[in-house]
Amino acid sequence: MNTVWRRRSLLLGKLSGFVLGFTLCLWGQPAWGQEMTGPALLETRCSGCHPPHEEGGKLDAIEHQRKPPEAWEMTIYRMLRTHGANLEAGEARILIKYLSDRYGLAPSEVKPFRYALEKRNNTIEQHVPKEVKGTCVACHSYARIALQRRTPESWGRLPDLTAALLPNIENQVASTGLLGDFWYTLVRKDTVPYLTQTYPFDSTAWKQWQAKPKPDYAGVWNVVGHDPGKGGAYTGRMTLTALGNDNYEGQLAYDFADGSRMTGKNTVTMYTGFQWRGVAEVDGGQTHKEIFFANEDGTVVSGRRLLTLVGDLGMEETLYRNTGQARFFAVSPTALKVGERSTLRLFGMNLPESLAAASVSLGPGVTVQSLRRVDADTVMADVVVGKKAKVGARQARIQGVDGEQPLAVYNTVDYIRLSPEQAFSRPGGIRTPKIFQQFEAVGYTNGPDRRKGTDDDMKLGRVGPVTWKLNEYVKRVNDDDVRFVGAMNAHGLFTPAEDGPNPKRHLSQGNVGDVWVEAWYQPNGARRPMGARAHLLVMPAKYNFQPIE
Amino acid sequence: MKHLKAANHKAERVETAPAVAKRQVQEDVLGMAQPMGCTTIFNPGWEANPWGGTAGMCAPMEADLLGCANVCWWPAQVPDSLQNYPEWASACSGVNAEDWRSLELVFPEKK
Repeated sequence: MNTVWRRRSLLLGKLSGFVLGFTLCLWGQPAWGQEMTGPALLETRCSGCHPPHEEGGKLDAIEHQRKPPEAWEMTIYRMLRTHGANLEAGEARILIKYLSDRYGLAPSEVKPFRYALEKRNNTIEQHVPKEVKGTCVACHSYARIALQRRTPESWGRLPDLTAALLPNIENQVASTGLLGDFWYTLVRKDTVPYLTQTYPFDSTAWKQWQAKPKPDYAGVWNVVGHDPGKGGAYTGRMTLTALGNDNYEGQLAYDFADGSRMTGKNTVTMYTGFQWRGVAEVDGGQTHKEIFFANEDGTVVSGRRLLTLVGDLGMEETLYRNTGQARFFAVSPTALKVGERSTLRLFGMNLPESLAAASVSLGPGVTVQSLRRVDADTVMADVVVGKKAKVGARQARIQGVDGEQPLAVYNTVDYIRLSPEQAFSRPGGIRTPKIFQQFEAVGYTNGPDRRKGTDDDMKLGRVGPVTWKLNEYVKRVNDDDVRFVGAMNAHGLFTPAEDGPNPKRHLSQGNVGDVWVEAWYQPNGARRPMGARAHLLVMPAKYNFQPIE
Repeated sequence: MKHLKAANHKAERVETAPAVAKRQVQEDVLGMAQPMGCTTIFNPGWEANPWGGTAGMCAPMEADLLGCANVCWWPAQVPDSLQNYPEWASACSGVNAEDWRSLELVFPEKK
């Protein structure tokens, strides 16, 4: 009897302990479906492993660093992937927003390294400090480090973290030939002190930006952009409506130089008060990513509209807040030939309703014959460039409208260059995404000294039509890359071939290789076409795509 | 020397050689630079060889791909199966030449 009673009381004790424990676990947790705030999420999801420091009460590691939303995203997904963190659907988004607002970067801290966030993966990083060149930049971009600010302790922990996560790092970086000592020794001796000093947690720029009231981005935005794939310059309008909590939704309508029009809807989240991250659904079911950055007073936003998920194709875009004031933003084309008639497109906002031809001034020798106002933002001008018009750069202006735009007058296109001149692509389509490369031919004049490649040469802007070709860049005996790597289309787009081994090639090599991309352009009246070339490296496919490379 | 002039083209080239050599060295250094995010480890390189081309690299690279993942050799290009993505190549049997078609791509998970 006694034993039975003891067993029962033990069972009851266990049960009540379980009920108490379970209740305690639920204490402070929101009800199912209720959205938690950033601080609550940090407390419930993160502080178990990241306890607050005794001094200052900040959560260990997390609250001792600042970085942009993409970097927080990478950290949070590593926590989920490798360290067993648990998040409900949608919670990562809330955490990324909270952390980038509270522990983000100031506009001036992001600016020099925007290219990595905008996924300009053609960028060859110049002037990488020697302290990080061999130890860090052998595997990832310098921007990935320079977009972080940490306390000395936090920088100091990185070598151990890296060695723990990537145990082979010593062997790997030793083969760069850039290390004079073992990686771990070197990184602690040189890299950590350099980063601690160069990228400290506390900065005046961040303090000032935190203290500033953040702009509201709702309203009408006039858009000027450049898309090498659709005829160059484009213009348009975007209207944003605030949804609260720095979220916006909008509608956009863009007109391209090739005559096409694109409309769509977008949703935007503003991080840290100036970092615009949007997703646009446009005609034809395409999805664009908008990686934009506002200036400090929130009147101009600029960045890159990514046409693909990995950002290999994209368009340059600048948005101007429509304040009701008349302003002039862009002129297209940007160069006029002596003795020729052309139609210019002038783009701005709130342009006067009645504009006389004389109110558009394009400098001496260029006469505006007629003006046609398309809408409040666009005016088309038929112009004639006199035979005696002075060759060179000048400014286009509209009377009573703020702003002037550079315009060039030229006699002949003397040479062309390709943009980019160092390009890269990767095969894909079966297992990995194809990494495309878009080229554009840009015309130049030799300038007053009549010599090509000197400082006084004048850039005239995009030229066309251009004939595109691929040619072998001979690097080895029987080099045959050009037969396999892919093809150029009429619009300057290089499409790589499929990934995977190619049984038709020697040793079943994949469709990689290095080739010249050639452009041939024949201006009106020229006897022979002029050519330019760019080096295109078609590299092996890769399987790992991170928000910051 | 300033009163002496090169008598022929070859002599002129000898005179200008140091300047040309200096320029070429600078160009070479730029040529060796890789685009952002591409590795500069060249034994062999993932993206390119030390001279910026693709000659002499692993052919086909799929033949040695698991060798990269298992020892975490190219963590920025190939998901390392040592720490971060242990399941990366789990769909591959390891004996089939078409295995590379079953490899996973690594993007940050959306949650």
